[in-house]
Order: sequence, then structure tokens, then C-alpha cells
Amino acid sequence: MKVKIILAAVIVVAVAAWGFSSFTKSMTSYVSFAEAQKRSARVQVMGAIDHDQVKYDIDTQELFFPITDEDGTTMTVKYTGTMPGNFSQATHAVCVGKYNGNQFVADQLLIKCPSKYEGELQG
Amino acid sequence: MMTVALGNTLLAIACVTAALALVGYGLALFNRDSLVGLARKSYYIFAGATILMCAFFLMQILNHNFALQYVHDYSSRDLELGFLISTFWAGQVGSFTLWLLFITVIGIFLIRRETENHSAVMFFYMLVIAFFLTLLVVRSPFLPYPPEVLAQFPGGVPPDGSGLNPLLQNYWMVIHPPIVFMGFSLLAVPFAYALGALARNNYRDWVKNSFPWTALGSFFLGLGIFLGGYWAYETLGWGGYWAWDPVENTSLIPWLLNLALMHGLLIERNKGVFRRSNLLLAVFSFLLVVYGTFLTRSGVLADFSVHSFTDLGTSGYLIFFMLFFTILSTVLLVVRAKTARTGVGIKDPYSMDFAIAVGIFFLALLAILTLIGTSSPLITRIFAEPANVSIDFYNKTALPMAVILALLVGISPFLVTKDRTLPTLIKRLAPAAALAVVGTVLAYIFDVTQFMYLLMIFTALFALFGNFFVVFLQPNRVGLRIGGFLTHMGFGVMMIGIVVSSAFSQTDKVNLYSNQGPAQSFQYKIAYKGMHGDITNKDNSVLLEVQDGHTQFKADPKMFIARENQGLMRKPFIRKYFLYDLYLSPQEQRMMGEGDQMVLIKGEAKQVGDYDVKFTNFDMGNHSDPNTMEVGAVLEVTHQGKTDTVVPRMAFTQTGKQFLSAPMPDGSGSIVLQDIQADAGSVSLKFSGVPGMDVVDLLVLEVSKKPLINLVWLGVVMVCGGTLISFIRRRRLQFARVPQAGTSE
Repeated sequence: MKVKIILAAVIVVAVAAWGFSSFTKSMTSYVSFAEAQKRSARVQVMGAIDHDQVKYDIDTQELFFPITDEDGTTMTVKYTGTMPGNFSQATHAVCVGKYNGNQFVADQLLIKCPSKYEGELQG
Repeated sequence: MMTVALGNTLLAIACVTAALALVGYGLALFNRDSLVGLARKSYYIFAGATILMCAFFLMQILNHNFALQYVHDYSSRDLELGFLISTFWAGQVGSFTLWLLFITVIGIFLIRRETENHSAVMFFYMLVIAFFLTLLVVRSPFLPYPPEVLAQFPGGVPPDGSGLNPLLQNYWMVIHPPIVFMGFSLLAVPFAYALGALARNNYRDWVKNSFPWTALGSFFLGLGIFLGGYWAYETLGWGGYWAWDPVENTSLIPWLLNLALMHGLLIERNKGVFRRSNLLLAVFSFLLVVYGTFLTRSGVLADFSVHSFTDLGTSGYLIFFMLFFTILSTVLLVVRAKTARTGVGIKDPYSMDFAIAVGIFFLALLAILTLIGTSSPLITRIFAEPANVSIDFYNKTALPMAVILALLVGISPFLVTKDRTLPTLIKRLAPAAALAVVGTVLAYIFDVTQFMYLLMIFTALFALFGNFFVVFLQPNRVGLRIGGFLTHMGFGVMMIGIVVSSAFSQTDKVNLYSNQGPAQSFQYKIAYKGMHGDITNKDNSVLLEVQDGHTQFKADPKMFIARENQGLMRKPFIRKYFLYDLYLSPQEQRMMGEGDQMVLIKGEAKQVGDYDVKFTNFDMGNHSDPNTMEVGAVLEVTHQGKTDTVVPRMAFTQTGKQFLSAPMPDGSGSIVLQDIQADAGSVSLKFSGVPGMDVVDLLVLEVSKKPLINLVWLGVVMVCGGTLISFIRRRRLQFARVPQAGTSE
């Protein structure tokens, strides 16, 4: 009985430690644009997409678009991955990546599209 | 306004009768059973009123009563019947209404079943109902627009609604949400049974009665999750079926706990142990449904989720009920901790029960880790700035769990016979293990080289073959008992599909020009033949001709601009091969300048769109870097009487040619220097996006190959089919009145 409890405790502690370390390692902070430009770590930003300024470079298949955060700061995002299917409908984008040069280079893009729980009442 | 009054009256009747039932059953907790008869009658009236209210609500949608805010915001006149019906649950209020409807109907089956703890169970079930009724009172589905808003419209009603989100105009919208909500609703039953048993301190019939409901909940919730994944893959063109999005996770967590509960009930039924952990699992699988609802509906994750959520002012109530149910359950669990205690546990490490116990532990652990990941924006908010975990976290934690679970699933069916010693066990396991080794070696030959993937393939094959042998070599296992084995084989099949399809999926993007030669992607030659119709028509598709060796076929992924929001809607084209799916997903279509490539001799000028371009000279650049040679074309570009010099360049480095494009002056578009004919003194230029150019149709197409994805779907069908069979079996056992082990006190 004792052995079992000790074994279970060891497993729990090991899993907890390993879970905690993967948790902190895969963590990306959500910051403002001003903050993102100062940091060298991978961060997460969110802002409104200006659809008039979206550029898609056909040759390099790179997507460029300016986004504006709550503080009113605007910055250009460069994204090279697969363009999300509903990009053109998106109002906001959550971008994960690093600030580099004069643009935010995103390796992950979450698009905030109007989903089924949105579109409530304007009246 | 009559309709509003009638709808709200039905809601009011439902509230009053539900309250009566709640009080009636509540008093029975204190041994005052006099009101139980009244409570039951009240419930029937409540159920009648709720069903009528939902029917009435549906009628408002079908009759296009746009005076109601909900009907106006989610439906419109042009929706076909199926989609029109689906607007019932397209909005937040409507989805709560549907949820209430399901719980109410389930309650009709529950209330007819006399059990020892009947009143107590119904009391807690009524609390759940009260939760949903409160939400509907806070935000009625029958809320009309204010009279002054309606007065603006001729006839006092808006002529049309704003319509259903075009992304949701899909047959899956009709099927998927009700199945998920049915799954959520069913989890309320074991929850009520657990709390009822705890309140009465009587656990005699708790296992027998909650088992079938748990199995049915597993079936519906699992099916709902998988159908959602298939929707994302097949129609929405997200490329994958699972993204660890909070909305997906909030269904997954209760499902995992519910699966753990199902296995725990099996042990409690056979051995009479594990009661406390089962009660805990039953309580928490439902509490986490409520928590998930709070996470995804309250707006707290708005910055972190792909889906966007708006707070309807219900989050206060969601938090209140979450805390209320959590505190209530915790108090009951703690108070009864001693009396609900059962035997000492399982001693024999070579028994099936022991394997199941370990499995429960890891299922729960996986659920907890997923919960921590999903809640990370909330957890981190306490300490510092809110942060989110990346998908890595889920993959890193889920994969080892999947390996352990697959091992257990493979071993457990061999653990039932009497001689439980390690050597005999190994002997029995040998054939399945040998086949799994063969499969793994094959996978290695087919280029699966990463250790983790090989390990996953091995354990998945082991789970598959282990269960297969036990079922087919022991005919007494066939019949309704096959459910569990089928589910476990399905788990193995699904896991192989997931590993191979996600680890070895290949993606390529090609630019296709209409009426030009085909482009090559993988072994395919794909030609773009233009659009089938008008891009603003919602049935519009892209016409592609794909040449695969000697065979040729046509592909027609859908693409159109939605009327409702002017967004580009796409549906991929999927061609199924035996070993993989070819996945063609149009990304973008645009009009490009025709003749966007031109050759200019030194001194020559040509017109490109609104610009005049003159090639004046070569620019050999400076050779500061000995490894790089740069050549540029000096161009004089005249636009609206203003002339600028633009120099697109080409660099020759050790790795090859590089093109340094130059932007057009004051406007969009760019020039690329494509080639140099030094002896002819000419350059080849390519223009893109220059205003005023003659147009040619360009399609950006994403081409993916997803190997063995069919195994994912096959596994899903086996998992769901197996769970359904288990439900049928447990339902029969529930009524069979077989004497059960472990239920005697």
C-alpha cells in the first residue's frame, strides 16, 4: 500500500513538474504594440485590421497588413504562412511572433471572425 | 407585441412551475415527501410550457417576425428551411434555449424512473434547470425592439433580418450544435444522480442508473466533437480538424472526464470500489461544462480565441451559478467523504480493474492539463499580464498521455482470465505486440523516423490488434459486449490517422493564371479554367483541371463573396485516395494586369497601365561583397506628368539568383527584374498590381496532401459506434434487475 502511494505521488509530482515546465515554455504574453517593439521574446498582440491597406505579395506569398491596437498604435504585420480562410472577413487579428526591423513578423495568426455567438443587437 | 406577451407568458409559466417542482423536491430532502406528487405534476406543466415556448419561438423564426431582436439578428427571408431552423441556435440566447429544451425533455425520462433517491436527484436536476431559466429571464429570446426603433419601418417591422453568418450556412450547422448540446445536457444526469446520492447518503442505485446516461453522454458529446472537426476540415477549409481552440477544448474536457467516469462506474459495478472518485468525476464533468460555457460566452477569452465572443451581460450569472454548483458539490463531497468511502482499492496489478484505474488517472490528467492550458489567460492574469499557451503545450502534454492510454487499451482485454502472472500475460500479449512491431518497422521504412511518432504508431497498433484478437478469438465477447472493444480499436485506428496525417501532411501554394498553362504542385499539373459563375453568386465555384499522371479530373472548390458581410467564402475540394486526401483550397482570386511581363530594349519606352516606363541603362551596382554581383535596370517611370527613377535589381549570390523588386512611384504595384539579355541590351520586366493594367485572372491555390486521414474518420465511426453499443447494453442492464456486486452496504 505504501509503495503504491509513494509511486503515485512520484508520478503526480513528475507530471506536475513536466506540465509546469511545458506550460511556462509555451507561454506567449499578450502585450501592447509599444511593448512588443521593446521585447525580444515571442509575444502575442491583437489589433484591428485595416483592410484597405492589406497587401498580398503574389511572388513571395507574403501577407502584409497594418493593425491598430487599443492604444491607437499602428504597426505592420508580415505573415508568411497559409492565409486563414476567413481573413477577408476578419475584424481583428491575434498575431503571435516577434517584432523585427520595422514590422511584426508573425508565425501564427488567429483571426477573429464573426462566429455564431457574435453579431448581437445594434438596435 | 401579442407574440412577445405570449412567449414571455410561457416562459413565466415555466419559471413558476419549475420553482414549484424545485421546492417540492427540495422539501423531500428533509423527509417531507408530501409535496412530491405536486412537484411531479408541476414538472409536467413546466415541461409542457417549455416545449410550447420553444415551438412558439421556432414559429417566430419561421414566420420571419423581425420585430423580435433575436429573429432579426440571426435570420433572413432568403434562408432555406434547414438554415432557417438552425438560426434557433445560431445566437447565444437561442443556444441556451435549445439547451434548456434538451434538459427538459431528458427530465421527462428521468422523472418517470422511481429510484431510492428520486426526489433528491430531481431536486438537483431542477437546480440545473433553474440555471438555464434564469439565463433566459435575464435575456429573453422574445425581446422585441423598442417601439421607437420599430416605428421607423413601414408596418412597424423591419422588412428583413440581418441574416445568418455565411460561414454557418452549411448543413453541419443544422446537425453539429444540437448534438453537442445534447451531449452537454446528458452530463447533467450523472451530476444530479451523484448529488442526489450524496445528499441522501444512499449509493445503492447510483451506478446502475447513471451508467446508461453516462454512456449516452459520451456518445453524443464525442460525436459532436468529431463532427465539429469534420466540419472544420471538409467545409470551412481550416486545413485541419483540430486546433486546440478554447471552444473545442471546452467540449473535450468534459468528454474526457465523462469517459473516465464511464470506466470508473465499470469498476464500481464489478468490485464495489472507486465510489468517491466516481462521484467526483460525475460532478466535475458537469461543472466543467458550466465552466466552459462561462469561458467561451463571457468574453474573458476574447483576445485569445479564434472565435469571437460577446458578453451579453450574462457572465455575472454564469459566475454565480458556477460558484454555486461548485460550492454545493464540494460541501456535499466533503461531508460525505467518510460514508461514501468504499473498500481498499485494487490489489492485483495484473487485473483489468487495475489497468482501468490507471487509465482513469491518465484520462483525468489529460483533462486537467487541457483545462490548465485553456484557462491560461485567466491563470496568468492573476500573476502578471495575461498570456496564452501555444498549441505546442497541448501537443506536448497530450501525446505522451495518448501513448500511455493506448498501451493500457491494448493490455486490458488480456487481463480478464484467472492466471494473472507476468509470464502468462506476456505470452498472451505476444501476437498483438509482434504485429505492432511489424507495423512500426513498416512505418519506419516509409520514412517515419521520429521516435515519438514511432512510439505512438506502435502503441496505437498494439491497442488495435490487442482488442481485435481478444474479440475475434473469443466468440463469447461478441454481441453487445463488443462495444468497448470496438471503441478501443477505433481509438487505435484514429491515433494512427492523427499521427500520420498531421506529421506527414504536405502543403504547397501555387499561383494559377486563367487561360495559361497548368502549374505543377507535387505530382499534379493544375490548370485554372476560370470561375463557373459570378463570384457574388453563392453557388459559384472555381474550375480546375487536375492532371495526375495519365488521369485527369475536374475540381470545383467553392468560392464566393457573401452578400451578408462581403467576406470571401471558400469550401475546399477534397479528392479522396486510398492512402491520402488531395486537398485543394482556393486562397484568393484577383485580377492581374495582362501582359504583365514585357521586354524592353535600352532606350525603349512602353506603357504599363497608367504609367510610362522607359528603360535607360543597366546599373552594375557596387561590388562591395565579392560573393555577390548585382545588376539593376534603371527605369524612368512617368506617372501623371511626374518622372521618377526606379531600379529593380537582380543579385547573383552563391546560393542562386535573388530578385530585389522595386515599388512603383506613388501607387501600388511593383516591378521585378526577371531576366537580362546583355547581348541584345534588353531586360525582361514583370509588373504586379500596377493600377490600370489590363486584367487577367489570378488564383492562389493551396494544395495539400494529407496521408491516411481516412483512418481518422474510420476511427471516429468505430469509437462512436462502440459507445452507442455500450449505451444500449447498459440501458438493458439497468432494467434487467440483475443482482449486482458491490452495491450491498
